[in-house]
Amino acid sequence: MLARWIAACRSRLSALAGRKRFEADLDEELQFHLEEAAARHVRRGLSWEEARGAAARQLGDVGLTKEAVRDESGARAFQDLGGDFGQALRHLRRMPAFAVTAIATIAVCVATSTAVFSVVSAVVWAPLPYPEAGRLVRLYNSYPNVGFLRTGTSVPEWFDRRERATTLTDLALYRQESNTVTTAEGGRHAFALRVTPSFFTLLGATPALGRLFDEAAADTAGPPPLVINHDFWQSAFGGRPDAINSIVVMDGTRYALIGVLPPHFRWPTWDAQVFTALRFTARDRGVQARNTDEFEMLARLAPGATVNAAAREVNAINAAALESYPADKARLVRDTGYTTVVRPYLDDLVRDVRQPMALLWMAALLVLAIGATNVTALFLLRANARLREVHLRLALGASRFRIIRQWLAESGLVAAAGGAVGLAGTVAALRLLAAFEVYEIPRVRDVSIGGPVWLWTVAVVVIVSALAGGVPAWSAVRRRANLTREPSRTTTAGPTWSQRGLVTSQIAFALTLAITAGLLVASLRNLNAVQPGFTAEGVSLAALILPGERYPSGAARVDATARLLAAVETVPHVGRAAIASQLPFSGGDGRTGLIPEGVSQPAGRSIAVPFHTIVSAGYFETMAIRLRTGRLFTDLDRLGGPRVAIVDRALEQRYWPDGALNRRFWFGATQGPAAEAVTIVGVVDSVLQNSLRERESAGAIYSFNAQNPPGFFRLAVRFDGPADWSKVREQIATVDRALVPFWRESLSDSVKMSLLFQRGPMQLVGAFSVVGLFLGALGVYGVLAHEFGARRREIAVRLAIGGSHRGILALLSRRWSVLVVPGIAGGVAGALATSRLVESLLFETGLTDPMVIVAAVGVLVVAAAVAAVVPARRALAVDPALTLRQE
Amino acid sequence: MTENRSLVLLGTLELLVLKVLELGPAHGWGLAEALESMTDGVFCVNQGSLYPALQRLKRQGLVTASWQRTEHGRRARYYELTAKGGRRLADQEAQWSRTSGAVNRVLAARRTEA
Repeated sequence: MLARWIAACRSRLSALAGRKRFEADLDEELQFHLEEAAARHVRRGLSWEEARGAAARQLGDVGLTKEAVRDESGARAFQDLGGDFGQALRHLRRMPAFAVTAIATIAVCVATSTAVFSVVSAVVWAPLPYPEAGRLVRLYNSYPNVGFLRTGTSVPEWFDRRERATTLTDLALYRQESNTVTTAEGGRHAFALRVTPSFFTLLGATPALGRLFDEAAADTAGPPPLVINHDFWQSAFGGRPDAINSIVVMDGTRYALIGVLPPHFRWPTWDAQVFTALRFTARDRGVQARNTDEFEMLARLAPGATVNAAAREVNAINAAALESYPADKARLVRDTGYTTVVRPYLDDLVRDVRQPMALLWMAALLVLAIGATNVTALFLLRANARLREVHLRLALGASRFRIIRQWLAESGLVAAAGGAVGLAGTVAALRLLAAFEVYEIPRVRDVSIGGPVWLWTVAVVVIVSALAGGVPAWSAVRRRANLTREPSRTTTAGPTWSQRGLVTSQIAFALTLAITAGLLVASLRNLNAVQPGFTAEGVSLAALILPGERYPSGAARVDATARLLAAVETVPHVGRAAIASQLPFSGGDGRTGLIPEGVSQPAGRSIAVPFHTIVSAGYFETMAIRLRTGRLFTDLDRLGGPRVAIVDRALEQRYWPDGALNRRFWFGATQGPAAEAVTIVGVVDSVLQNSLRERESAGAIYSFNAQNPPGFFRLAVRFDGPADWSKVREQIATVDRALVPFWRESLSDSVKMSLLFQRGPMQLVGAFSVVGLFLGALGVYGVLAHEFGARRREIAVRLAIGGSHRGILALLSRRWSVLVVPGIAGGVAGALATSRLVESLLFETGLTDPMVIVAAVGVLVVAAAVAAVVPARRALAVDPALTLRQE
Repeated sequence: MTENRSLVLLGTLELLVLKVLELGPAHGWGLAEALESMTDGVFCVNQGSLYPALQRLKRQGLVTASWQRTEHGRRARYYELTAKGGRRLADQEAQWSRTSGAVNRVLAARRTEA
């Protein structure tokens, strides 16, 4: 069937392509016929003139004959279609306002829906680029009783599961790191992953050059192996094949470069450029390493295994392992509600964006629906004006099919033009998205205009043109019976039910969008009112690494950090500078378990896991975090001296409601020796750590960098004037040229970015709802204008026989209500039906927030009322005498 | 001049064309002449309908067309029966003889009754 259809099409197309040749052949053939026929007549005694005439009469009308031959050639359908399009083009050119409005509407719909489609499909729907990606799972530990829902995995668990789990294969551990690679040109920052050899097996990676990590090979002798990705090979090694087996120095350690990954291999969240091998010894399996959760775990489900079966098995293995814990640690860990969560990897990867994406997708579909109905309504309006023409052509023998086909050609042309403009808009939108580098959205780099996006656009164009051409044509053919009875009324027929229905559904869609946008706006307003506990304005951030080979000891790092901060503070307009191992709103989760001394807590709360960061003395001043009691860190707190810490109010209230000053605690899950106890010297205000949505603070604990100096940290600089980062960079270079700040951003930006999944959907849905309201109002205007245009005569008669303007207005408002009220009901119902999609994005705003609904309905009513003003004024301006005379 | 001659029976033109082409390749004019002379001038092919019929046969793959020289050295489009065309001809001939036989019997029956 398909083959035959393709063959038919091909013959038609080739007939079309060879049309010139076809015509020439046909001309010559008929010419030959005429000449031979004439020659015979001459042989029978006619003169040449007479013979030619006789031959021509015999052949008949050459034009008709040619036409008949062409009909048989099969190229007909396409030629006719060409004619239809030509005619459609001429029609549209006569009505530029109509064409431009329709094309612009479709372009907006295509641009929004295609842009959203391309993002959603690349981020949420597309499978991960690994073999059997659907069976990849992420495993992480969760301690729900202490409010710590997501950590990583510990090395002993990896050993346990590798040996015992039957539902999982290729278990891999990895950890993200950030390193400085030293090449011939100097230091170069690289994003690194430390991975077990099974990582590459799991993701199906094969080397483009050299080899990857080998489980069996005893690489213990010689420098540890290093694998790099294709981009890094190009940028740092100039793509030279002889880079393989060379020695690469990274953070002071010498590595042997053993392999390069192929160009298509990508880590889904960010560009991991350098891979080093994780190797564990028996010591790493010890019970002390359990529940330290320093690594991430990925695995593949064994054939036939399900996620639930894997979770059951892994948790059974955990429970068995708990038996080997020392009694007090076992009790603690059990108290926390320790479980391991198994989730499909893709599902886990897009967990934060799934809901916003679903919401955007819904909003884009609504805009598309509104636009499609609007264009259909536009075509209907025009179809009504053309009913007389249709009627005439049907009477002259045109087939219904032919008329429908012509209208479809028109709507198809408009939809295709709108689709093309819309696609251009999509390209621009995606460029903009790429320019913003929104790395918070996983896989956002994979967003592109590929096959599925083309298919989507084509589908939209086809559906819109079928609706916009088909509905009016269908309604015109249906109304034919009425026309024949009342031919003189054809041009004054009022709006049809399909027109009213379209406008009402537009209003419903627009209101659904407006309510959704309103809820998001209300949530964002609530979120913006939240005080994070620090002042973000004016603070610039960067990350820094103290290379291990230059600063091997704690003392060296303390000294380097102090000199660095002193140098930065000499830069003009720098008020204060500080370092912190973790900053709020910077993505790090940085939580640490601790045991308060002498505090008896109910089961499940015996271990605290507050936010932990190591800071320099100026940190609280830089961030504008207020000290409540006690003191800040001073020079007296030294490396090797009594360990001190500062806690926040939230932690104080939780564990030391009578005051935390001078109380002690131990880091870790068990009480250590007295020498390792940490004394609390100050209490500061609580700050929000990760999101303005945090309702219950986990508390925070601050260690002093002079006692616990980190080699990788964030630099925070408070400017009291214009920020000049290049000067800061210069000053840092005066301390050591190897210190290169990276990841520069402002603290306000990172606070703002934490609202990305609130603000982004809000802005887009808001924009969509404005478009929707505008189109809906346009629809109301169109129908009312049409209605009262058609009823001019009736209005004139009413006025002439003493009807009042008030009566006319009442008529108008009845008509208006019939359109708008069901639309409002539908819109509110739609908003309730889709509320599940918005729920997780809301903050202190109810799903049925009456204020929002009332406001959205109000805006809609105003827009619809404005749309009614012009038709109403026209109706009231009717001069009975004049109008009736015209009729 | 053609008024007293009947037009080719509807639907039989195809059969006649195939039949003529069975004798050998021919151009359009030759076909028209042959049809006329073979039926002793009874059938006058509406020459205007000959060419669409040839185009239809060509599309169905029953004949092929090629430009060749006539005996007088003129270029003309020659039509030639294909194997498929030969089979179609055999089918149609069989069908025609059945139908015409039936028609003749009906006509004969009428005459005897009258």
